[in-house]
Amino acid sequence: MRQYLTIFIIVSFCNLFAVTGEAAEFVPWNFNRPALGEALDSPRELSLAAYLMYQGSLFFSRYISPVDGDRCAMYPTCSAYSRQAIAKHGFFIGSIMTADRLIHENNEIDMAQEVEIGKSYRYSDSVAENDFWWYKHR
Amino acid sequence: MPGKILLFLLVFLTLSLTCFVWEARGEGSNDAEMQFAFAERLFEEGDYYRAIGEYKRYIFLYPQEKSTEKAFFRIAESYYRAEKWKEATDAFKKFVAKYPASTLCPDTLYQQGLSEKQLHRFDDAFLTFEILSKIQAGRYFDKAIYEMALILVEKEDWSGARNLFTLVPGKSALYGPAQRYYIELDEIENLPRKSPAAAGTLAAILPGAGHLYAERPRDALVAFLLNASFIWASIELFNNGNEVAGGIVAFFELGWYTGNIYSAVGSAHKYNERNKKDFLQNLKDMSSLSFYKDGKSAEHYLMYCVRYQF
Repeated sequence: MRQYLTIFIIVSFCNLFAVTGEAAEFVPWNFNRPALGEALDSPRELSLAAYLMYQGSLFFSRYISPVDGDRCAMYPTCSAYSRQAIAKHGFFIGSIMTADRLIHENNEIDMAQEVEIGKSYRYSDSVAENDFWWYKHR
Repeated sequence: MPGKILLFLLVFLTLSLTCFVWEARGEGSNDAEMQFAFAERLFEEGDYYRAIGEYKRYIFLYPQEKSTEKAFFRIAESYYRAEKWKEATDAFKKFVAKYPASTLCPDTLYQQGLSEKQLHRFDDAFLTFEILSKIQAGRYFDKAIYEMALILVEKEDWSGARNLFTLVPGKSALYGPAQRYYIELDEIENLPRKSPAAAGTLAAILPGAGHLYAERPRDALVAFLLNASFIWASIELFNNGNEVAGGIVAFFELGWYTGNIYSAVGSAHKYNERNKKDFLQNLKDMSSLSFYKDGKSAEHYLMYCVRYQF
């Protein structure tokens, strides 16, 4: 009797997870397409230099930035912007665009559009807003 | 006698069965109407996600009903209203392919063009509006021409856009804004501009000078200080015999230097782009138009707003 009861409890427990997982996956209007941000955030095939810089930026935002303090007023933040630029254009252009971002953010605040991120507001300055003059967006 | 009873029973049975079949047919038709009405209710309530499901159910259950055509159109329209532009474009195309002679084709093409425009598929949208302008549906000619002109504005073909704005008929409600665009677009070439080449050259000669030229003084200061401090640090390190540290700092300085040039060129482009966008936005605001279609009466309405500055 105890064995049957144990099996019943295990099966019920597993079913509970199965149902919860299915319910969490349902999203209206989800046509199984990744959003633009997700696609850019995941590194595609990168050169070694680009990969190292990408991982360095990731290390900074995961371990240094939380201790150092979140001071970037822009969206995406400078480290996220750097990763997106590297993922999109590779090491060389990605590095130049990162340097450009660190230089130009002071005046950009006066001109950029405000976006609500969580409970705070940031200034929009995406990769697309800084490569539009030479890169043809699809 | 038994023969008469048998005949009576046979007639009674036949009549009963006929009545039953007629009633069943009536019920089926009623079900179809109810199903369509339910889908329409969801559509009117703005619950487009569920409305699409109900329209699809209607098409699946009653493919021979006369409202099937409208159900296909409503599916596309639901995607359009829910701002699912890609799905809307595909659904409108499917509708036109399935019902090429439908009276709903002009509405379909118009909304398909608008969806393609939202997706920035300007060439496709232009072609759709061009087809619409050639269809014998008078009420869409002016709108199609106007949208074609606006697409050329998006593509920065100013003279082509101006030519198209002149084709909007004088009796159309769009004539006023079209004329405004025609006149104002003549001024777009005279907007203040910054040369990206000049900004890049200045930044290459003196870091920060390109930003100053592009009217970004704070960025200019940052670019100058960063480059100056890294150049100074690397020179000092080399002079003190620290070649490795000097090389590393010089490597980083190379990044700041090229970043400074890229930033200056980008700043000039942004300056020009911002001026152009402000000009076009102002033009749009000064003669703003809104289209809307009443879901119940299927009538199209146009709202024209003109603003004057005192």
